Amino acid sequence: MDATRWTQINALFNAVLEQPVTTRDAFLQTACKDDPDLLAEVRSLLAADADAHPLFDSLALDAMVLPADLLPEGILPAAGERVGPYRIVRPLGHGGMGAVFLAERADGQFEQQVALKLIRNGAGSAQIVRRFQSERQILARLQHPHIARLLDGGLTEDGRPFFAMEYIDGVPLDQYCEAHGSTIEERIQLIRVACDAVQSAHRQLVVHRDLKPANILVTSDGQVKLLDFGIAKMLSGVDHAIGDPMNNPALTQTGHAVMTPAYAAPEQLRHEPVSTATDVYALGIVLYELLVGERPFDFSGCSPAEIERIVSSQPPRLPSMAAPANRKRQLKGDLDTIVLKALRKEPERRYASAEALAADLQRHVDGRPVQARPDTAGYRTRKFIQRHRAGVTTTAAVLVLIAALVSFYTTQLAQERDRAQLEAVTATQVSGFLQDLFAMSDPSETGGTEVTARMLLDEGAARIERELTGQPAVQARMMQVMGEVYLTVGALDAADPLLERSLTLRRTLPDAPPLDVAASLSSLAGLRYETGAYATADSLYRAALTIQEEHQGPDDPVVAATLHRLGWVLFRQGKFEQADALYQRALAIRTTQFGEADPQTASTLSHIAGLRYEQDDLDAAETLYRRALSVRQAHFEKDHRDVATSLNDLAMVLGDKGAFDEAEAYYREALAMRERLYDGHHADVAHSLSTLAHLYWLKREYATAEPFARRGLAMRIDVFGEEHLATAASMATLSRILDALGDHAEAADIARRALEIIKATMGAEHPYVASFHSLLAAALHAAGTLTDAEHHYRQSLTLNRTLFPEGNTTMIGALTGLGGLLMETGRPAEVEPLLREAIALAINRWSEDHWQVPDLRSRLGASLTEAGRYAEAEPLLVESHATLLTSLGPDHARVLRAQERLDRLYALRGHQP
Amino acid sequence: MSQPFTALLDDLTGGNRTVIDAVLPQVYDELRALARHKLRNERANHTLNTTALVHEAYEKLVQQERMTWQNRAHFFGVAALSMRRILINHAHRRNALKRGGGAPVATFEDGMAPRAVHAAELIDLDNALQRLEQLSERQAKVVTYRFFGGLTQKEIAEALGISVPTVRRDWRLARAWLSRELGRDAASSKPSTDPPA
Repeated sequence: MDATRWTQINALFNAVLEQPVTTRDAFLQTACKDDPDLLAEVRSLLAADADAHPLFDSLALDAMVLPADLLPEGILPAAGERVGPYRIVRPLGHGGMGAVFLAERADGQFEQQVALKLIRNGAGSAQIVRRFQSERQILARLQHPHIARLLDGGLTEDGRPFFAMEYIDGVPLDQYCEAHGSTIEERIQLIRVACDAVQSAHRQLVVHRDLKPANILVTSDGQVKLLDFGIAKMLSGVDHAIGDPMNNPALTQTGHAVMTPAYAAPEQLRHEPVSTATDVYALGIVLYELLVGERPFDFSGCSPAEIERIVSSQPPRLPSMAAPANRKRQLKGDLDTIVLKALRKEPERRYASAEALAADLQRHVDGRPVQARPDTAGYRTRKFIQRHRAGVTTTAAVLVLIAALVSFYTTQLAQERDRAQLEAVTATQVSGFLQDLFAMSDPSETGGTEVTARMLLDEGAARIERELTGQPAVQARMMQVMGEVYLTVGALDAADPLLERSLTLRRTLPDAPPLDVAASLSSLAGLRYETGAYATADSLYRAALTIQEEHQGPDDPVVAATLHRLGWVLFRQGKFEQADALYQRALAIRTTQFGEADPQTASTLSHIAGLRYEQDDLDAAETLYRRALSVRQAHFEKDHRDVATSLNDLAMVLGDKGAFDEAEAYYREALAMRERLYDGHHADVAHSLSTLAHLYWLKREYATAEPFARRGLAMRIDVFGEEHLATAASMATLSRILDALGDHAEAADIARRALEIIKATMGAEHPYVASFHSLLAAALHAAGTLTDAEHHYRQSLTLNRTLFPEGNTTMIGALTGLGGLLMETGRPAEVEPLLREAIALAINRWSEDHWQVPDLRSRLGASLTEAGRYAEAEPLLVESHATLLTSLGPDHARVLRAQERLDRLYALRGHQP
Repeated sequence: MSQPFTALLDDLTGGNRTVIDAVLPQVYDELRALARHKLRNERANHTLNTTALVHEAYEKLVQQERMTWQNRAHFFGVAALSMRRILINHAHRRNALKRGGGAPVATFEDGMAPRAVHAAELIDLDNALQRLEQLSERQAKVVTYRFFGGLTQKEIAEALGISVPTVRRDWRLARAWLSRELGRDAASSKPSTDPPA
């Protein structure tokens, strides 16, 4: 593209934006009728305009805050400058702690070249120097041919700490191996030497804490030298030994660590006590890197919290799987096992010492059996479930299920096979499963790896079918678990046959435990609910409930869980009272069994709050949502899916109550939390976006609302597809906003589509169908399509009257709208009963004083005026005008309208009072 | 300084290339010197606020000279170009070391939630801006001034000698174009995934 073409695009882009939204595309097509490329380009830019990159989100960019290491070279001394008793010769490099220089004694006392490490300026310099003085005795004892000696330390003139070390003319370990094309055996040999040096320091009770190739140099004659022993500890924050170090061979200290994240052990990243096992872990990473050619984890673009999560939870890929093809064979087996043992997440499960790691490496080289054993599936699963008990993402939930599944697989089948052999095989399968599934949580890979996860699941399902036919009890259980996994990842079609067969198998087995049958019934009910077959879900849950009550008694947590789920099925069908009764029973059981402050109790509370909201009891809903929120916040303590849900729910009620600012704050908090939890793209993020858009609509900030509504809708279509209740809800929000922005045609199109979706998903007899008829009617009304609008207003009212013989406040909008339409089409006589019904509902909903009531009375007065019933109209118009004036002030649009209606009465009647 | 600083700024109207080349190093050096000074004398974790930094550099550079109202805006434009250069250099350095960790390069504060920006993102933006310069130098400047210099629409209009509505239109189209380009960069730099074992 050239600048001339760009000018043309520029002009057209701006011209299109000046058109009303409805005619933009037609305008564009006319302008580009001979130039399809131009049409495509401008359309694409308009799409990008509607969905701008988040970098440009902020409307008023106040400031950019820069990190302190923006200009690291700015603080370095130049050659010839003095630092303490040393004179700088030349820089050697710089790292996280500061810069390193080649330096020599400036006072001529010795002819010695040193590596001078200048620590970046910062707080605590004096403390570092004090620590140096207390540590130097210990460090002086570190005399080992493969450890570079620490010679001196002090403060520079401007108060920065420096250390002088024996200068080693060598290259980092990884570069050395690369440059010399070292074989696997040679690399192992170098690591073994490093292990010996580390072990000798550990004997002196010195932990390195920052081992990495850059700190393991190899000289030109092939000698390994470890740098920086003891430095990291001196630079750490407040340290204190845990227990007596002399009696505790595994030195442990805590404090703010100096470390390199790529080589840091999980405990280091969590700022937990470090020990000799921390150095073993770092040696494991270095070993991995030397053998494979890359490190086990890629942290590019990760935040510190993400790094911590990866290192704490993600198993490293097997070296033999990660290595280039020509090395795979050599690494498979012993070396895989040795590396993974050094890299265990739990310090106590790594090699007990660097020496033990070196010894196992030597055994491998000698061809003797190594002592490390593959990780066991059972242990891994237990730890995994412990870690993810408060699991934060769907992925984690899937993983828990997968882990449970594989663990089950192991324990059940082990009866018939050699247990140890099976554990070894399964451990490999587990790590493979988990690795690939963990990749799903990487947002940049979501598209690709979902396939991978699905393929793995399919393979698991096929294996259950193939290999377990002789064990129907095991097979039924596996099918249920597997079906649940499919259900969790949304693969409903795959879940169906598994859950059906699980139930059939258990029902036909003579000795199947009844509770297992109930579990299968419940799982299948969950699937039927997801596919919208509510009646089937209902009867399946009830069948499960009968079995559970019979065998566990009426007050068992299992019963509560089923009551809760069944309640939800009824809730979603609009059967609020039946749902309420079930929830109350579930709540009573859970409160007794788990207490008030339990997340399961909070979950039922939260559902009851949702019911109250649907039933229009906003005060009760607010109270219950606040209780659920505080229980969840106290229980989870940090970001969690359920906390975000509670925040969002509470905000929704507050928004409806008119507490907009508080609602906005909660919505924003929920949105931010969900974006953190799900990396920005998820059903819950879409929910937050749509609800926030709805709030801005309530606040009449329509232009602010629109982009949130569009992003929310696009994300929901992406996640759920079109035919889904949630998608229809987002459409409703967007339709209302567009209506308010004056784009009635698009608003009506969207509302019509939403109504179709609601009918298809909820059935024709649902309260939502009435609401969506009303929504569509309002949009059509505004667009001037009056016949159609009237039809939908009446559909809405008819359905509402069938479902709610006592009346329902959602009818007020339809009644008022239809009243207005009848006035516009010259049928004022039909308006009176509609508005009287609306007034009664409004008084019931709010109170006599609420501005909606006089506003409706004013409208009623206007209809009476037009029908020629002046005497009845006058008191209504006068009183409602006065009331509105008092509550809204003289300039409010509704007050002005009331005044106009009064004026119209006097104009028609011919005289003032 | 070979020329009085304000005289140089006065020549900047319309974006005279040679004058920018003469002024830019001065502003760049001054910004760096100021940043260095602050980093030396303040706490280790101190962060710098670009807008404050640019304003301080301005005060310092023009202390002895009388400034007219226009060339103050010009100065901020040049400062924005300098900040872009400083930040992008920094981002490249960070990116080269990225396997060591992924701390964000900068954080935008816009009165709401701060947003962290990573080195790769800034580099992508810089590359896209260079491509945009081929299409419209002015639009690329509008983005640079706003994004890297924190200039208001009015200040941008003054610095470039155009109207505020033009700034707004330029920003909107540039934003759309850059959003599309950044989407493409992100897509093309996605790591390829291994097939399942």
